[in-house]
Amino acid sequence: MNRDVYALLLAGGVGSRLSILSAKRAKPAVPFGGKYRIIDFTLSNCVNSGVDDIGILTQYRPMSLNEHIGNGKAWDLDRMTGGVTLLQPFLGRQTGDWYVGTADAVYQNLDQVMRRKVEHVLILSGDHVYKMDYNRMIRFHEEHDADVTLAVTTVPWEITDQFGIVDTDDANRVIGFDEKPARARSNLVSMGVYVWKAQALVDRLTQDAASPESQHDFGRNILPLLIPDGKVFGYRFDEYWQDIGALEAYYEANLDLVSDRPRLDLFDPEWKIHTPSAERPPVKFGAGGRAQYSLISNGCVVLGRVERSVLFPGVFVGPGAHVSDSIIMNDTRIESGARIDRAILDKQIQIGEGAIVGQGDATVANVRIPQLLHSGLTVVGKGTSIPRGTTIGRNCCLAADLCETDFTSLDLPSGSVLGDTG
Amino acid sequence: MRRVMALVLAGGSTRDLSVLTEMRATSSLPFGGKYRVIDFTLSNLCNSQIYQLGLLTQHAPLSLHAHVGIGKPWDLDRRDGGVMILQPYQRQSDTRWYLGTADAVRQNLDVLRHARARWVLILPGDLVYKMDYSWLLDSHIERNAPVTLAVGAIDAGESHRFGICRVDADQRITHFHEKPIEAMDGPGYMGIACFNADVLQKELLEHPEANNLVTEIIEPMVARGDRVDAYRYEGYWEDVGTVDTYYRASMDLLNDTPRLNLYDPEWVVYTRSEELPPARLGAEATVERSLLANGCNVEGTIENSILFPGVRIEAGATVRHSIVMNGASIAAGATLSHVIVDKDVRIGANVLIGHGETAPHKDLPALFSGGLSIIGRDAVIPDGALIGRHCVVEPGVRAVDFNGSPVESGARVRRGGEVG
Repeated sequence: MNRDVYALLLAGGVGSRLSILSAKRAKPAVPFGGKYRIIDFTLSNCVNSGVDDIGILTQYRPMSLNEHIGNGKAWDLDRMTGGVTLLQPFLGRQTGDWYVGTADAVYQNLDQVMRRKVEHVLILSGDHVYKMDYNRMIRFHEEHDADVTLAVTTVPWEITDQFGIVDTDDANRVIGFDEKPARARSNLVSMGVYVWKAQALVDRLTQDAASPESQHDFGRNILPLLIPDGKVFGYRFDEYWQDIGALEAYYEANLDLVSDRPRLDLFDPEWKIHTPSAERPPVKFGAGGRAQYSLISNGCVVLGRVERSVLFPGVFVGPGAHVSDSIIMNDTRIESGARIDRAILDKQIQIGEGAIVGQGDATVANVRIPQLLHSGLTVVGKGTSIPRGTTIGRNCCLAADLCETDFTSLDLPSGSVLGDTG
Repeated sequence: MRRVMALVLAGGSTRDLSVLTEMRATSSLPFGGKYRVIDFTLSNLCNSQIYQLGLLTQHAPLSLHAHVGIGKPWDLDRRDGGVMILQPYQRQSDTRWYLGTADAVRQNLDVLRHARARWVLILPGDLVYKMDYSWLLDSHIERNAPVTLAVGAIDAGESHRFGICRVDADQRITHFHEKPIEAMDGPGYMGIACFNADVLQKELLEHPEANNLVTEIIEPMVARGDRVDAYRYEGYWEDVGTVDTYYRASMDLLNDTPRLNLYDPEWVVYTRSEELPPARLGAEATVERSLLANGCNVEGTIENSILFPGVRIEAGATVRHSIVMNGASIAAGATLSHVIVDKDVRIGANVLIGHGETAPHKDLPALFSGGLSIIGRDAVIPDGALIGRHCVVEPGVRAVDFNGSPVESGARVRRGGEVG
């Protein structure tokens, strides 16, 4: 139990690089790993680390997140003391407005921090997948008497432009910070996980709020000003950590779970990932059911073949249907004879008999979001019904809630967009 | 809300389930890939919107108490009502265990009075079924009956296991014959009865010597000509009180359209589930006609089998026509056919269970058929062990207990190393 820590979890981001997966839900609420949502990893890290007083800052489409978290029961966060609170922006106080940046979101909730009289504030992001013991980081923070400690890790050089690059000296002191540079000098990046001395946080954010030219962003505006004081330290984290940024990273992180040696062990009894699970019966395999290299959740009925795929609860795979290299979310039905390859199907989708999703030329990028869909992945939005016999190419993007009459043609070539994909 | 209280008789155990019920009550026996038998009754109650119940426990109640807890999974954690665990307790005078079902209810009459129950629903804890009790209650109240028994169809040749009823055109029970030795026609009493609370109290207090609710209260009432009504239940129900019926009811779930539909969103069967990841199927996994729960990790071959949460099957292992309960692991190269493997059993590499000629089970030949063997909870089967058919391995058996020789069909492996 760590009564000296209050955690603030930033969960309000739009997540536009996840396209239609986050069109109707905040990025932390995007389903992941066969039964979880992305935020479950951070919340489970908190409770597994004994941090049990948590505020979740929401803003963008909070409904599915609010429903998911509820009173925090799934994480044992339904408590008399501490527990979980959802902090949505509100009017009525002097500075009340929408959150304009990460630092502003925390600033608007500083009264929550001050009221608690805690020593440390843990600032977390709701869209990372990793297993981390925050206690070790807090201990490091105390040992170094830091004002703020950043968790840092290395990422592949190709994606350094998406992160804040950190320079540290031999004593782990941060001596340079460069937010999303075009050309990085190092591949050591900030994970967006901070431990702050509560007083330092209050002082710095109050200062920043008064500055009219600030964008109120931790990486851009707060950290660079602190570094000259020499009280910022980097805590090295070398285990699996994945920032669920764009569709491709999301897809790869899910598919990694079905490989021979997944980098993220979901089966570790010492570090369970908790989530509210609906009551579902066991997975049923029928006479023609086959599955390999897959994760399959309770409530699924498999009468066809499944390979290298992640099936969320309640998915139906009809006789003769074949699903490969795909992510299929809750209660989606794939009728008999249908073929799904390299696709992400959101919840409650109906795939008609004999329909094909993911066939054709993978080199034709998507016409609307070529930067997100160019490697052959096809994405279908929640609740859409694909008529029987339809063929859908690769790199396609289909909006949510399309009904069969929205399909004017039974052949959607690679790179197509159908419906309002936002 | 109707003033009805359910009493679930969950204290019983039976020798007919062999070592499966050595350390647990029948009602807490795992069933259907993730449930326990009691879940069906508790889910029926919450799906019927009856939220006031007493759970009468006696035999090896700890796993049942841990499972039911405050009743949260069934929405039975209520401000008013909810679930009460009614375990026998000591008093200043007249302290005794529950001597039978009638005695158990009699010892808890004050609970019924405090709940101000007008109707009492007596429910067995060892039936697998989906039943809306409010229909039974509606029938009971509309007909203004003092007692209504739920009766259902039974399989031919099974009449010796049930109370057989004769029902007249007005749905009154005219004859009741408990477990007739010679086959009888007629519907079987399901063990489910709805009593007016005052009638139940009067019968129990006027017959203080009666210990068994069926043979010493209900059967004499019918014989005396007292009014006892029947409510015909048309759905599927199974008393899983024997190895054979337990195995058959389990295997029926693997059919394309099983008689018990677990996938009905209108009638969810709830249970207390441990948080576990989705089932993982590895590179060489083959799974056919089977149920797999969350947390299973399968690299081998599974056919016609039921795997409970957290079962681990290594590459090259084959499991056919078997039931493997929570947390058991089966090492590489092992082959199991027609085996019930209890929780947390460890089966070593290249073990063979269910091989060779069939011989009747030595102690209880009538219980074991179809070559079925049972491996008791926490048992450890050493690498390369050979076990025949109709065998029983007692709970907690260690590798040394096998003495290195094959276990022939019909034998029992005992803790401490005696095979016979």
